[in-house]
Amino acid sequence: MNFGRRTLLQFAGGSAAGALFTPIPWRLLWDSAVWTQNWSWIPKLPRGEVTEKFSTCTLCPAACPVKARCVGNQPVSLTGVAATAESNGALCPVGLAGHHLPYHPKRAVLPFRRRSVNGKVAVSPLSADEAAAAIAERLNALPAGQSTVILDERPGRVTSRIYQTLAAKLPRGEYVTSPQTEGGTLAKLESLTGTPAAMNMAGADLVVSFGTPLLDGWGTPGRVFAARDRFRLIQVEPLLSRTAAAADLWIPVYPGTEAALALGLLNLLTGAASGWTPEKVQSVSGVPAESVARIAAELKAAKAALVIADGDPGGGAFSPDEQSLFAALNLAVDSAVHPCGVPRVTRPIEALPDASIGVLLCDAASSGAGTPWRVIARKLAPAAMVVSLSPFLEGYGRHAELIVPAPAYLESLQEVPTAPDAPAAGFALAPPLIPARPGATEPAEFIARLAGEPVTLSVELKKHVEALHATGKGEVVRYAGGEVTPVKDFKTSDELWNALNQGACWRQGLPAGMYASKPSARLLQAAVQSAERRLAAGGQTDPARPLMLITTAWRATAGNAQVSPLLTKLYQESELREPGNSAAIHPDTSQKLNLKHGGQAILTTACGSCPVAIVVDAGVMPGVVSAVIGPTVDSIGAAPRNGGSTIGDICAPDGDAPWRVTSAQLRRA
Amino acid sequence: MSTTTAKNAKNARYGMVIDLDRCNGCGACMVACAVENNVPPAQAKATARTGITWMRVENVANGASFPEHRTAFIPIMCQQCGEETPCVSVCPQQAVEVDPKTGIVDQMPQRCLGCRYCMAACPYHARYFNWWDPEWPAGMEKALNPEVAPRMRGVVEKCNFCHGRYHAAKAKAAAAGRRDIDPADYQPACVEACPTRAIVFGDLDDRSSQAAQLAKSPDAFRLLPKLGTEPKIYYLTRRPWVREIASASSPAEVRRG
Ligand code: SF4
Ligand code: SF4
Ligand code: SF4
Repeated sequence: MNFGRRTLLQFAGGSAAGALFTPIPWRLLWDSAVWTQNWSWIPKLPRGEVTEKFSTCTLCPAACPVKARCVGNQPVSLTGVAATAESNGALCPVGLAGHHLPYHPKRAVLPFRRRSVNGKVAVSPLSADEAAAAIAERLNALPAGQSTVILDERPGRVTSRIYQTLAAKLPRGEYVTSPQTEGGTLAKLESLTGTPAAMNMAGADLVVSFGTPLLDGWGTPGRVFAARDRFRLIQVEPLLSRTAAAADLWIPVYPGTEAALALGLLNLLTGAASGWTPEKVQSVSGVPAESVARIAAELKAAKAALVIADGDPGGGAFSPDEQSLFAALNLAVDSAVHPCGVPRVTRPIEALPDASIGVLLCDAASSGAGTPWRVIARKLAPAAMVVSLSPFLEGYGRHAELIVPAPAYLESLQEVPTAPDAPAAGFALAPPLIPARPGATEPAEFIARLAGEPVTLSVELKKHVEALHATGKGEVVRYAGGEVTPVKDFKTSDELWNALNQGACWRQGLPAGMYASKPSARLLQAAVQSAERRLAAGGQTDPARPLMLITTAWRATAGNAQVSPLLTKLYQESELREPGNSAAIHPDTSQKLNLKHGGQAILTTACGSCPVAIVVDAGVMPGVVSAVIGPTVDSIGAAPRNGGSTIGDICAPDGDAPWRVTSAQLRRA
Repeated sequence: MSTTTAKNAKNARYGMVIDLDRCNGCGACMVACAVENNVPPAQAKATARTGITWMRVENVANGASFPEHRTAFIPIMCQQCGEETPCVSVCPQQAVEVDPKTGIVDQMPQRCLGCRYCMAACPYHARYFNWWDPEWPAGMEKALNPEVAPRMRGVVEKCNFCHGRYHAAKAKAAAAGRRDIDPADYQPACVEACPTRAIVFGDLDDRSSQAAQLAKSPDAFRLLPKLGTEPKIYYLTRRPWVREIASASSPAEVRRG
């Protein structure tokens, strides 16, 4: 037989065809598939004993109880605690991935100083002692007329009390709180009547919400959703938010004219605010006259109504003038508000004179809101020193000269005060589940060092628990099992301390009785006059910036807060949530401005410009730009990055009502 | 309440009923799913097309303009088809199988060749391809779920009704000397996390289970019923427009505006 080239090819072809009838290629395919799932760089899974531990979420003011599944000392997942009425087993997406925050790429691990040298930013590491010395040097040379300010992001804590004491010991020290949106209506009720107020949402049959994201980052989600089946929800706001979409009735209103609707309601309910007929309300706010009458009738008929006007975490609170009116509405109806034992102590930063802060010490906590930096910056004296005590480089850290990082979430013992929607006073500890990184400093302890007054937070918390024990009031709910124990049944304060450290919360019993009698004519008159003043002052549009910019944020994702990189699932790998710096406009507005969905544009206000991604959304009122303050796609999980303007930077705070509506212009990038 | 399958017990047909009138699009289910199943954060270049979201909540709209405009959210994951399972039929590697004991459509990454026939075949766009090796920021790998192996580049993955939890529940039943799983021990992560309690999970063949009862509600429907794939995910809504859009061939494409 001749063995030529042709035979060789025939043999090769025959072998290849024949091999298909043997297991060899399939085996190779199979094995290669297995090999590719077994590379050495595949992350190693944690091994160890699996246990269940408890803590409380401190990422926003909602105070959700947390159950952690731990492998050794490492939480590998967090869930809510079903056994407590506080959260009914719910955590928000931010809280569900909160155990990732200690490993966030924007985590500040060691203190450092950021300085501008020849127009360039230079960063130098330093120790906490050196940082304290640098601040002390500045404090010693504080110019006359400038103050040292401690900015508390989460008032109502034991830490807040420590801050207040320490402020008095610092040179011209002041204690202030960052703008708080949640709890604004109740705080106003307290200031009008002198009685601290709480709301019993579980007992409400009607809730009228003015621009408050009741179902999307307000109050304790589990408590709100558990009550939701029992109350009818009327949502008043200029765009179809998640809350508006899920409300029983959505009432669109021109931005900044919510008070007109409230005046109309007050007029129909009490006769105060004369002249604010439904027709007038319609002409000012765009709310149809029949809707005004309908809401008033519903409020009148309700057995336990709530009017909540806390505003949006990114849109800011309503002005105190408007708040008086919303608070008065609660007094004018049969309300689900009742007295509460805990007064709210806030001293808003707005109360400080502009350009008066020489040294600003920013707290590590997050109010949950996306406060624009400009709200704070206008209070800073030229060349003021900003110190961020946050565990992250972003938030206030973006603007700080000195960063002295605090332990991250779950790394140190923390405390949780009464949640904004809690029906009664509450308190919980957030015991640590992960060892803190060396170099992290507890903010209150650091500031105490500056004030020359050593403080240990855990000791102060223990004293607080001893005081709770001494009152013998209230009850403790253990997260494991939901067992409820009256405080008086704890024989010693140590027993109570241990219970709280294992995962439990203390709560006061529901106070009996109505909140207050009907509002006095004087109170109503004052509320009406101040709201009218406010309405008259607003509404002037700048012809060069004809659009109305309103901003929104999803709680605990903006401002001083950071989110787990896993939240990219919502912002980047799906289109569930609009990332920061997106601007939603109505299709008519987009057509007029020749802007397309997904296109780039420049948003300009009197305070500056910011690049935005356009979202065309028929749920936004024509002529309005609804922009998101929050994490941008490239900032959620990316490497540390500072600078770049964000929507928050170009919002114009105005007097006492920060940034709710800003005149703006949009043009194609 | 009755109990369900384990070794030698009667077979189950696990399914879900998702109330679209309760879902507010918070995304907790998406995050909980990713935590449970060790799905990594997005790669820098990932998009809604190339990202991995075993559970994806789609935002849909009624198409009307302001102020009649309305939106709804539709959580979509593997629909766990019961008949003519398209992905099973096309997989050349037998990397996709329907477990007769649970009715769960299982995906075995170790067998997957990465040909993506199953992705093309899936009418619900519920399968995701690993375009990149998974990466977690330094340190975060310590927080991975020890029960679920991460998948590497080149394989397809999808919702498996939190298989790790099913095995844990089975092990717990076995340790307690029970043949059957206690339904309370087997609840997928998205179900557990949903703050509005929009998702109900259970054995659709167990008439006493809440899921089986809700699936029979007149408000219940399934996606693309005309294909005859007999999905085990049911949806509930009392809003006709939501039902209409959800039944469209690709609700994912029905976006705002
Ligand atoms: S709502 Fe707030 S407290 Fe509750 S889980 Fe989310 S971030 Fe944490
Ligand atoms: S059942 Fe499990 S795997 Fe499937 S979507 Fe829900 S959490 Fe994800
Ligand atoms: S967790 Fe529940 S409410 Fe939130 S998006 Fe998922 S299904 Fe909807």
